[in-house]
Amino acid sequence: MAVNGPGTDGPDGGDRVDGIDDGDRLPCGTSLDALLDHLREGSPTAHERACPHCVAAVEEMRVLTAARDEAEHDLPAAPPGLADRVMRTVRAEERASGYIALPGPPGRPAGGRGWTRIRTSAVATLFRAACDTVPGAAVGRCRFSEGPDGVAVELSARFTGEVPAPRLAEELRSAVRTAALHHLGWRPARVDVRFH
Amino acid sequence: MPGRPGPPDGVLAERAQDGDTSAFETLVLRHQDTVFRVALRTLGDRDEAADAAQEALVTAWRRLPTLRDADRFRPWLLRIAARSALDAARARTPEHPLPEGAEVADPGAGPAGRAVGSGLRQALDRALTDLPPPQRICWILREMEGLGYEEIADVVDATPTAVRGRIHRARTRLVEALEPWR
Repeated sequence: MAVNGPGTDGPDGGDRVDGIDDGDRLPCGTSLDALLDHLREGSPTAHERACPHCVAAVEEMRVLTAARDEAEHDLPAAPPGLADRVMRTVRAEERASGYIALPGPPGRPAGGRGWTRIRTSAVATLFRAACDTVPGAAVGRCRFSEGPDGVAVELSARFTGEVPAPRLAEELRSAVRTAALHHLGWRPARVDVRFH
Repeated sequence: MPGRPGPPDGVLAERAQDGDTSAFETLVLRHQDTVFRVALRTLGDRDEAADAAQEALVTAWRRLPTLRDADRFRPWLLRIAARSALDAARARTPEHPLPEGAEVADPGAGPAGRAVGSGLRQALDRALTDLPPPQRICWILREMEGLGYEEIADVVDATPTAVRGRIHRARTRLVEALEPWR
């Protein structure tokens, strides 16, 4: 239960039987909610403009619509400093991420003069920034897994444009591989892209 | 709320789940007003609402790993906010009951706004305080925050049909309460 816990629900606050009659349908079959939405958008349908039931419902609701419109012009905003206070706590509780071991310079075995490792969160930030330069996709998750051929990268991406998935995936892979090689001297074993 | 540019919530929520605090900060900036208003409408006091909103946003960060569908971030967050505000309301001592009137009636407008106001808006705020909380929160999320029925159902842990019924009853009662302003 989220908001209707014990003691908060007045006599009329609870739900009647679901699905019997939510009272939202006008006698003409129009949903009052849809009607109010159309009105708000300034685009009532021809039926809604002409139907006596719709016209009467709009008239009935007019005072509430006016009150809502008035309130909407002056919605209270979060107090200044709220986001800063939240973020101070969040940063103090930052979740520790794992590390990726980076290869040594070419021709010299890794670990010969000490090892280099980098936080996976830093690598993920780097790769996401690289993916941000690819139009048509937004990358969310960037995770790493250890396989027989080395560390693999898995991205989750959403379409934000019209570029077809195979081409988009190739561009994202290429952006990640370029960033990995350029900044870290690393060639990931695989770069998998999961669209959703 | 729409308006602030940037990647969609789902993308930012996934990044935040990976530990990206900057992505979470963008989500906080994007949703803090709605979270605060949900708390304010429940508690009726700005300071208490600010505390409840802060608690809700920090709780969201801590619970992010349990969010299964990143695209449902907003209703998930508002649900935490509604719970946090109700917990704060319940924790009040009997000597400090729910404040009525002033703060809820007009938390945003300055004296000038009040002077030119018709009183209609104040009447709406009073009428809202008189609604049972489940009706009030459903109506506010629908009419003031623009959430759809499915999203509200997620927030208040009810079916979309129940939400529809609550909003309808809220409308009926609000219209009755505003009758003198017709």
